[in-house]
Amino acid sequence: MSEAVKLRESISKREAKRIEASKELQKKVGTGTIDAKKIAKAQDVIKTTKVDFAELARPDMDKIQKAIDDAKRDMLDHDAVMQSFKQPIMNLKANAGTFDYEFVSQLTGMVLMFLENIEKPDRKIIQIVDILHKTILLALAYNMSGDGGENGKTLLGAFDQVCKKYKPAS
Amino acid sequence: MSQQNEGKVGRKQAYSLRGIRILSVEEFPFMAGLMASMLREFGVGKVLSTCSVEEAKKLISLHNEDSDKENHIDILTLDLMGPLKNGLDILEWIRRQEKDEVRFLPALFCTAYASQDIVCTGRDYGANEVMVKPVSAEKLAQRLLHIIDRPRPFIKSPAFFGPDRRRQDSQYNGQERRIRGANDLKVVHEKE
Repeated sequence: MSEAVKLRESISKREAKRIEASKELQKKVGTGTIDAKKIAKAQDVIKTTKVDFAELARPDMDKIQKAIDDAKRDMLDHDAVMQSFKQPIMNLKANAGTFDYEFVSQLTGMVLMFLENIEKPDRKIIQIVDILHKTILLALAYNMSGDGGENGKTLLGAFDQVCKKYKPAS
Repeated sequence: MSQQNEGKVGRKQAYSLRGIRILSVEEFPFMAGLMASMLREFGVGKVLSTCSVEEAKKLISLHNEDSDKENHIDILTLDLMGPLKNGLDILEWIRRQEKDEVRFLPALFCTAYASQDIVCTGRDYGANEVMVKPVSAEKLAQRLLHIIDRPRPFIKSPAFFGPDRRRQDSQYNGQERRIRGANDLKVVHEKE
């Protein structure tokens, strides 16, 4: 008998209850929807909010730098190293997408997708993350919002090539 | 109403959100302010925000243990991206409370981490809905509509207490299937 079957039979002897959902909220708000104009106005809040994206990104940029420094010293725990790279990059991707830094969002998204397939970090992986870090620093210094124009396209293409050419160290 | 309105936003007849109170827990003050502004634009009457998990717990206890329902926090939005565990801690704390007004509090968990593992973890800790960033008003409105229009039943078992984690109706008959289907569970009305 498989573990899954054993577990299922053991749990089935116990009680599970389904508690009907409360209708309290529906009673409070009535019926309908959220007005489209209000949604548009809320989206305008994001668009018109003056955000110093470099300032917002700083904690994640610091985390990436720390992850690079730590990985250079010790890469024994592969999962921990990969997580320390991926988490701040994921944060950057999300915030960049929210505040119209499409180039940073695309770049981080591309590198994330690449890192998702890496199980064992090596020196080349650290280099790629390091180049990403430096590129974002430049993008922030030059306030490259939106898609970054021609420079943005060129950099995305270059990163795509780097990721494709990567071969794990033997 | 629910089936007809499912997943749609921006229809003609509008909710009156003036009477509800939302607590927004964010890691950064800037994001807390932004979320609060968006919710106010939706017409939410009372928006509270904090960047501290401990303060959030105090606010929930203070408001939801009040005998006057008007003072209750109705929805929690939670976005603690850095030390992710903090965000999950508060969900776990809410679902462990004895008071129904606290433990049934609907929670919208926002996360930058799009991986299935993280989304499932948020759900396993008791999030009613999960919103994957980047934030947009449309996405936020849709998640709030889900919470209002399609409130999830809660499941209480020895191993879990929280909103029903089933998101699909399709039947799975493999070895790792759930013990019972939703309709086989004993239905109770503890809340009302």
